[in-house]
Amino acid sequence: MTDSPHGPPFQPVGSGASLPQDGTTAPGAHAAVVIQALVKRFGPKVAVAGDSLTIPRGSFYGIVGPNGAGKTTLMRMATGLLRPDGGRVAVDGVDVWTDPVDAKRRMGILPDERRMFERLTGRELLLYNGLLRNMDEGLVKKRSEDLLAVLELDRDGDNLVVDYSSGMHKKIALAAALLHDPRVLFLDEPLESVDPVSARTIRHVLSRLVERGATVVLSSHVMETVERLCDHVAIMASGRIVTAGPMPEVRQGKALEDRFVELVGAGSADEEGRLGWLGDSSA
Amino acid sequence: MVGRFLRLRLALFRAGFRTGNIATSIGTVLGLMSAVVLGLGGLVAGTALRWAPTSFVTVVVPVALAVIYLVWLIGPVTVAGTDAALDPVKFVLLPLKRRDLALGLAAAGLVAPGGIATALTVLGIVIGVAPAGPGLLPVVLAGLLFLGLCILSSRCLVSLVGMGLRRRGVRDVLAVAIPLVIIVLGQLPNIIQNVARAAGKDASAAFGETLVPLLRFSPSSFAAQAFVAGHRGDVLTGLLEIAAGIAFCTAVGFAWSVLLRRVMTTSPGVQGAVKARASRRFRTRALLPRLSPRAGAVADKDLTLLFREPAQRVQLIMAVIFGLAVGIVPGVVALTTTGSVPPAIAFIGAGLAMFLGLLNSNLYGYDGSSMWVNVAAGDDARSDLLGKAVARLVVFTPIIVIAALVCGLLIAPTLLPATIGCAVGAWLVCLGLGLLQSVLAPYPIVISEDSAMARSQGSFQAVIAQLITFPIVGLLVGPFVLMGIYWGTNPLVALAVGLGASLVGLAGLYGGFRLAVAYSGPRQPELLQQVAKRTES
Repeated sequence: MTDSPHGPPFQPVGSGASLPQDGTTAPGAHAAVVIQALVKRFGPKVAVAGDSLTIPRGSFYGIVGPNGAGKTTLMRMATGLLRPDGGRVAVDGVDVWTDPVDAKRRMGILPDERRMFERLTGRELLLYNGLLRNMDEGLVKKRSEDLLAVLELDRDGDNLVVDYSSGMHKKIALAAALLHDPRVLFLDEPLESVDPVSARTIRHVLSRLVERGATVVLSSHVMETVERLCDHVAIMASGRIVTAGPMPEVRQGKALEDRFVELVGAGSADEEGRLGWLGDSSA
Repeated sequence: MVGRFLRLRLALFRAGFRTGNIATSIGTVLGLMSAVVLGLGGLVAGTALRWAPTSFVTVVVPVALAVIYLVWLIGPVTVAGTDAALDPVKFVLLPLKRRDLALGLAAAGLVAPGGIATALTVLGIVIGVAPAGPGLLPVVLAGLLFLGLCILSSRCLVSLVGMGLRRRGVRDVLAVAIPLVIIVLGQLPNIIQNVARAAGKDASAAFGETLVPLLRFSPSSFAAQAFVAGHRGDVLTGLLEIAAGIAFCTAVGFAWSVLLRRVMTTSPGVQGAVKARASRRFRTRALLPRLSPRAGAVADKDLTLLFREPAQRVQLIMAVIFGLAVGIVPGVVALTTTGSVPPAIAFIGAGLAMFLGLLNSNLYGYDGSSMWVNVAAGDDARSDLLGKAVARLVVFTPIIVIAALVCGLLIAPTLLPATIGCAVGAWLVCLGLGLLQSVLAPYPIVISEDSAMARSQGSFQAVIAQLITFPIVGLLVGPFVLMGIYWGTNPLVALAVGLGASLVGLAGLYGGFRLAVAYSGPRQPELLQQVAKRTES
């Protein structure tokens, strides 16, 4: 674990974790994802400030942080969805930005935004997702039915995705991300808008995936979710990874939320003074 | 992989009929029918070249191909990239090689109304110019080359524009550039013919002599010259043109595949959030103190968004450009043309008013997702519609008046009261109809990342709006325009025409407003549902 709120960027864990300079060969055998000095600026705003992180193979890794901390930007750069201004990323040993095709074969992505053909039905969406991944049509259909059934979408499989609720949208996107049985799964707020029963199912699916050797990386601002699911965690604030490592080391015996507030700080607005008027009309 | 893209294309096409949106289904059918009609027209016209002299073929084929090519270039970036199957961002999660993605998208792009119309027209030209003999080979290859050139160039430009649109300000530049290109190209034949007449030459002959050498610089000329060479039986020249065309297409295809990857991995608004300028705050109630606070707030908000929201700002810029064109171009044509100018041209301001009226026939569509704020604050359709109308009147009326004033002064100063009055009258009637249309058939509009214009979900409703607006405006304001044309030289008649048209316009605006309030008053939740729902194109 490294605390680096104001110091130099976090260095990847272990000597085998660094990316080779010549391109796409595998980094350390224990690293599923290696992020090195990733930088992204949006005009004057630095969204991600040279962060580095190593995610061990077979781990359930949570990235937490307040709104605007840079979690989504980091995830998008790590998955090849957003071009970084600097730095490198390798997923399962493949450089995401020099060999994006091979890297995307190895990963599943549940993005933060809707990047789907919403006019297709859920079943069709999975079918074409598999076909465009060059998968065999019979295999795609078999896996689609399995995923639809487990994620409780089988009855809505022939409805248009555009008519799905937000929670159903998350589930069909998760099904699309799982269809090719990825080695590394990136999930941006996977349980947002999902009902408790489905959330439980999703947690079960993800835990099972990790048990079988895959790596799951999820970003969330719900501490409870991350604390319950993940064995590793990184806390981000203002574009920097403040701390990262195995959950017990990061928590230091405290609840994750308390540790988070300790590291990131609580809001400083004079809530009582400013909102003293609230509720006057009910008094 | 191309086959899988085509399967997806057809699935999305079929899915268009399953959305339950009858207007979308009708729009899809109408789009296809238009393509087939246009294509069949092209097929017949192209086939007719069999009976045309070679001198005619050498002029018509390059001109026709250049026009079609231009439509392929300008169409997608102006009419908005409404085709989800061609949106590269939708494929960003998939492990697709650049070549597979480019070929798949190109093939899918041809299976569309534009592709069908072009393919039929090209088939017609192939039939029309194909000789019996070895010249057939370059002619057939030229047809295929032209189809490939159109789709590759079009998609490459869309990606280039899409890349540009990820930077602030580029959309505004396009909003200026595109109408200027359209206006200049529209006037090109006039300019050539006027210059030829001034030099004492035959205008038609000069048109061909000037234009065909110019078109040699158009990429469409590789296919055009191959067609012509094949028609003459000059196989070697034809094949050389084909080879050069293939080299050009390969370069465009490579550039596109590189651009595609960058477009897919560059987020919109890469310059990040910027603070809005405080100077652009409006105070409508300072100008109109009797306006209710809510109507004033709606007017201020709409005025702010007209200048700040990209798609609406594009409309505003285009309104100014076309306003300038309406004011200046007829005057310039009048000054450079020998003989008298028909006085009807002085009334072109009414046409501008109708154009702007149609742009304002879906007033809830741009910020539909925020309409819940109005509904939650308490239904007040009257204030909402009044505020929206006031915002448009404040912005667009001066543009229309100035355009009509300049045009009238340059062409027929004696008609000035009539030209201004008719333009204002047409604008007010259109705005009244626009208010009504906005509550009768609203549809959500979202910003397109690949087009200068917004992505509309309601092209069918827009067409219907035109079909309704034109005859009504014609019926209400048309008689005044005719009176102005025939008797407007009498100053009293010109004044009466101007006043009459303005009063009719006011009545039209008031009538449209009252009807819109009466209809939408009890239907605010339904209106919210119609404009707030996010739907894929």
